[in-house]
Amino acid sequence: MRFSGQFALMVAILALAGATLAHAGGHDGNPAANARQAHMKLYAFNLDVLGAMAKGEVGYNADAAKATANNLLALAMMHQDAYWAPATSTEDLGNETRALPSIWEDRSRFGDIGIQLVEAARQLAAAAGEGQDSLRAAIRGVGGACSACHRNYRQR
Amino acid sequence: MKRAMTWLSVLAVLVIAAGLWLTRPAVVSPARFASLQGDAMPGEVVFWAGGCASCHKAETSDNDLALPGGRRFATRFGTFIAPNISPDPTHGIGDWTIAEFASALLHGTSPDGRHYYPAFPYASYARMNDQDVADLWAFMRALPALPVASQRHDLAFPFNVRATLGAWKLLFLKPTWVRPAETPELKRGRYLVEALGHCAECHTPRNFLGGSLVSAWMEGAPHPAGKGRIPGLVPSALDWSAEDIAYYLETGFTPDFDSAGGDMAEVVATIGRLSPEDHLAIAGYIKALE
Repeated sequence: MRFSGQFALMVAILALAGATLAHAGGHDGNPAANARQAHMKLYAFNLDVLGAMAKGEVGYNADAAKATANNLLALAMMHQDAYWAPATSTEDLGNETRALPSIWEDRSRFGDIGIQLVEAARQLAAAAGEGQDSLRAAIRGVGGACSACHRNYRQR
Repeated sequence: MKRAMTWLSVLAVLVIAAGLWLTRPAVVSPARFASLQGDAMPGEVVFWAGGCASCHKAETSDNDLALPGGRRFATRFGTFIAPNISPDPTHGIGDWTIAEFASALLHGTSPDGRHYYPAFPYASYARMNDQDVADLWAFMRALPALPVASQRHDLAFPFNVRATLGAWKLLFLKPTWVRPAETPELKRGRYLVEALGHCAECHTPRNFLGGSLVSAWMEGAPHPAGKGRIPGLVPSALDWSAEDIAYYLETGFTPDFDSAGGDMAEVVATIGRLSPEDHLAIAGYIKALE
């Protein structure tokens, strides 16, 4: 009786450990692709806050707009080389990512668009606190940088 | 018997000749445009609304004012290659008259009297008003002239026979409005969508001859390059608010702040430069679709 209780406990622990390992190893996906997508979600979240003010869905608040635009600039300026690790395109990872292999074949143009985003985010950070119209006009530049990358390097 | 064959041959030749005559390339009369004064300032709005740059800029360029052509468009009819429409007199449209420019936009006819392929969206531009044609001409004359030779389209038989396009125009070139519009805002939206913006060229499916299916107006279509689908804009396919649509056209951001990729990114790069009022007019037209 005692023996079988210990055995059941062992089985349970092993099963849990196995499940944990399987979870970590197989189901969470490629860390670089995950990091990229998390980063994109942070862009989207902050843009949503700014866009709602630009569109007039919520009241314009200069301090909040400025702080949020600074978030966006900080995100854009993060060093991201490790995100774009080799062998993490959609050819390697399938549905896990829409990143096209051309990113790795065309690193200098890809990098140029990254710089375009930083510049647009810098202008947005400077404009965001200067009123709703100024905020609204500057978001367009950021949108242009997002699209420039997506139309070239994201699977359609 | 031999006599009958001869008569039949003659008859066949006559029928073909009559067909070619009936479907000959149409042109505008020079007098119609002689008295119009084009203004480049409103012409710039026509230019961005018309999206000329999306197809006619260089393949990897982000300069929407340099239009040397060269972009390739793969379709099941073959590959179309956008020509040079910069003001270069040899390779572009620099030595055209305004009547020739109008004939190209409104009738799909080249200065040397040949049919253009409807990859050039004259089936939509045919709805343009004359003043906008003149203003656009004034604006485009001032763009940089680029000495880049246009390339021949790479099409399969029988699509490489331009004379067949006369029949295509007879069947599908119908420059009437598709949707009703009562208010000035809806009329403006309809003009931007059905004429200048030529949205239906991609968002409406086509029949096997490449004619737009007006009965399925804006219901979405397979991508002409063969992979993927162009989304519908009718209410069953798109539930965004008018403000969401207008903001997407302005910035490329969807309501959940994903950004336009693909071909629509090119559209936002040009049509995004219109005024917020024009974006709302387009959105109003789309919300009124059935």
